[in-house]
Amino acid sequence: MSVILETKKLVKTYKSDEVQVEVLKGVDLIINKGDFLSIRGSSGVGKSTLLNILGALDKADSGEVCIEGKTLNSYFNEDGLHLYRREKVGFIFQNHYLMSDFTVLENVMMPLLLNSVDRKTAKNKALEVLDNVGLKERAKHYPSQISGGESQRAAVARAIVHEPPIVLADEPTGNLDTKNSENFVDIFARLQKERDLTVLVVTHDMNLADKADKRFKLYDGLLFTV
Amino acid sequence: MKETRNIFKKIRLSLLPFFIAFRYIKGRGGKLLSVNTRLSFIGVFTGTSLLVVVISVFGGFQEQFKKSLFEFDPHLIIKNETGDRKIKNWRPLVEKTKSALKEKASSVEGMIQSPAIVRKQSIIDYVFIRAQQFKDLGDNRLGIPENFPEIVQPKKLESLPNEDVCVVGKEMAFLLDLKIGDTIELVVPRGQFTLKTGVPPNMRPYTIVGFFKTGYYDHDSRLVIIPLESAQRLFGISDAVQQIIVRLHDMNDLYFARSQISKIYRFLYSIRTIEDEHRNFFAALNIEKTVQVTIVFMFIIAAMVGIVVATYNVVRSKKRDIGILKSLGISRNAILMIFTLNGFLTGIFATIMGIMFGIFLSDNLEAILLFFESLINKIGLYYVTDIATGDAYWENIRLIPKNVYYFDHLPIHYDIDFLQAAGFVSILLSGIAAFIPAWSASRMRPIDIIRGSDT
Ligand SMILES: Nc1ncnc2c1ncn2[C@@H]1O[C@H](COP(=O)(O)OP(=O)(O)OP(=O)(O)O)[C@@H](O)[C@H]1O
Ligand SMILES: [Mg+2]
Repeated sequence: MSVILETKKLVKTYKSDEVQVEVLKGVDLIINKGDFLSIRGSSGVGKSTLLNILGALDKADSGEVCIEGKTLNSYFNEDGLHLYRREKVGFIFQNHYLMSDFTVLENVMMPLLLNSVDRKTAKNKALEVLDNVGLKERAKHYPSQISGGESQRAAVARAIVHEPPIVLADEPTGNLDTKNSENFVDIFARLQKERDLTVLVVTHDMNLADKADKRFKLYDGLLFTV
Repeated sequence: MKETRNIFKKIRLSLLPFFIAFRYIKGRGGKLLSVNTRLSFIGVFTGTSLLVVVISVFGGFQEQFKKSLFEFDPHLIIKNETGDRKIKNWRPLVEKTKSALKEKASSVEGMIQSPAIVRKQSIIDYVFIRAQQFKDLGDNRLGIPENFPEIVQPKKLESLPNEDVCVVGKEMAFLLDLKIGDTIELVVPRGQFTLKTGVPPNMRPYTIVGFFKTGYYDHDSRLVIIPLESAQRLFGISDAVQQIIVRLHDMNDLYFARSQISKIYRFLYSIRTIEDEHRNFFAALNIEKTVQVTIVFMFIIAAMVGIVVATYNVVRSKKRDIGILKSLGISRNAILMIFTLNGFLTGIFATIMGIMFGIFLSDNLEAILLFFESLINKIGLYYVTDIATGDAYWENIRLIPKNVYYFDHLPIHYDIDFLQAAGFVSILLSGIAAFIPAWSASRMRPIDIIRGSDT
C-alpha cells in the first residue's frame, strides 16, 4: 500500500483581538491509496481548518503536509500552490459552488481544462463522470436550472474528473435533505469503490461517516480513531 | 515530440482565460451581453461616438476658417523696408521669385495694400484696400484672377470694366447698406510725408461691381478689392507695388519657401508669412486644439471611470467564481487575464463601434438636425397652438440658421490621425482601467471567499 498523503505535527492557531485559539495542536495523519476516511467532531473544533490546509487553501503555522512524497512547502516555494490545488486535490464544499455562467458540463470540464487537457477529451471525460453521477441529461443545463442535490452531485463529478490523488469533502451533505443525502451517500460510496478513490470526508452525517473504512474524531486539536 | 505536446498544453492553458472572459462578457445563455458589460460598453460607446462628433465639428470649423484664409490671403508677403516703401522693379522680382520657387508656388504677383477711409454719402468707415492684378482680357475689360474669393453677387461676374471699380465684402455691403452699382469714395494718403503738409489725402470714386465672401469675417467686413492699375492711380504712384505676394500649393512648404526666396530679397526687404500676419487667428486655432485635446481626454477618462467601475462590479459579482477557480488551481495571472480582458475587450469593441457610429452621426448631423427641426416645427404647428387665436406658438425654428453667415452648411472634417490616436488611447486606457480591479481580484485569497459565504 502506497502512502498518498501524510501530515506531521500540524499546528494552526488563530489570533484575533488578543485571543488565541489553538485549533490544531499537532495533527498526524497517514492516508493510503484507496482509503476512505471520515472525520467527525463538534462544531468549531477545526475540521474545516484541517481540510483547508490539506487542500492548500489555508496554511499551517507549523508541521508538514506531504503529498505523494513531496511537501506542500516545496510547492509553496517553487511551483506555486495553484499547481498543487490543480493537480493533487479534488475539493467538495458544503455548498456546491458551481460557476453560474457555465453549464454543468463546462463546470465539470474546468479542472481538466486547467490541467491542459484538450477540449474534446475534457468533454468526453466530463460526460462520462456526469453519467456516473446520474447527470448526463443535465449536462447542458446551468447551475440555476438544477436542484441542490443535483448540484452537489455535479460538484462530486468536478472533484473527481481529473483523477486527483486525493478527494477532500467538507460536509458534502450538510445542505441536503435526508432523501438527497442518502442518494448522495450511495453514489459517493459507490464511486469511491468503483474508481478506488482516496477520500477524506468531514461530516456530521452518520450515514456518510459509517461508509468510511477508517473513522476519526477531531477533539481538542488532535485526531483520534473511533 | 514531448516538447511540442508541452507547447500545445501551454497554448491551451493560456486560452482558458479568454474562454472565461468571453463568457463573462457574453453573460449566461441567450442574453446578448451581461449587464455589467452592457454598462461599460454603453459608457465607452457613447463617449467615443460623441467624441467623434465633437471633434469632427470642431475640425470642420477649423478647416473652413483655415481654408477661407489660405485660399485668398497671400502666404508670403515681401515688403520693401527702405525709402518710400514702394517696390518699383517688381516685375523682374516676381519673375525671379517664380523661378526660385518653381512648381511650389501657385502664384507670385504684385499687390498694394493700404488702410483707407470709405465714404458713402454721410456714412464714413475705415477699410483696407487690396489691389491685385486682374487678368487683362483686352477690349478694356478685366477678368477675375485665380485665388479670388467667391463672388456671391452678382451670380455671374465674368469680367469687369478696366476703370475705377471695386469688389467689396458681403458683410461690408450689409453693414454699410451697399448695392451693386453704388458709388463709394475711397480716401487714401498720397505721396510723400512732409513736415509742412503731413500726408496729403487723395480721394477717388469707385463703382461697386460685386460682393465677395471669404468666410473670414475680418475680410468680409473690411476689405475692398480693386484692380492694381486703378490703385496706382489712386495712390499716385507709377508702375510700382507695395508688396510682392506668394501663394503656395502646400502650406507645409511655407518656411522652406521663405528660406528659398530669402536669397533674392536680402537686406532691404522683409518676408512675412501668413502666420505672422494672422497671429491672433493662429493662436486661437492653437488654443482650440488644446481645448479639443482636453475634451478628448475628459471623454476618455469618463469612459475609463466607467470601465473601472464596471470591472469592479464584475469582480465583485464573480467573487464566488474567483474562489472556486482558485480552489481548482487557477493561477493568479490567469485571474488577472480574465478580468483585464473583460474590460479590455469591451473597450476595444465599444471604441471601434463608437467611432463608427460617431462618423455615421457626423455624416448625417445636418440631416438629423433638419429632422429635429421639422419635428419641432410640426409640434409647434399642429399641437402647441394658442386656443384663442389658433396661432402656433412657434414655427420655422431653425437649428441650423440658414441666413447666419458661417452656417449655411455644417462643416465636418475628420482628422483621421487624431481619431486613430484617440481610439488607440481609449483602448489602451480601458486595458489599464480594467487591470486595476483585475489585480485586486488576482490577489484575493480563496479561503476568505470560501469561508466568507460558507458560514
Ligand atoms: N479566520 C479566522 N480567524 C479567527 N478564527 C477563525 C478563523 N477561521 C476559523 N476560526 C476559528 O477556528 C475554529 C475552527 O473553525 P473550523 O471552521 O475549522 O471549524 P469546523 O470544525 O469546521 O466547524 P463546523 O463544524 O461548524 O464547520 C473556530 O472556532 C473558528 O471560529
Ligand atoms: Mg466546517
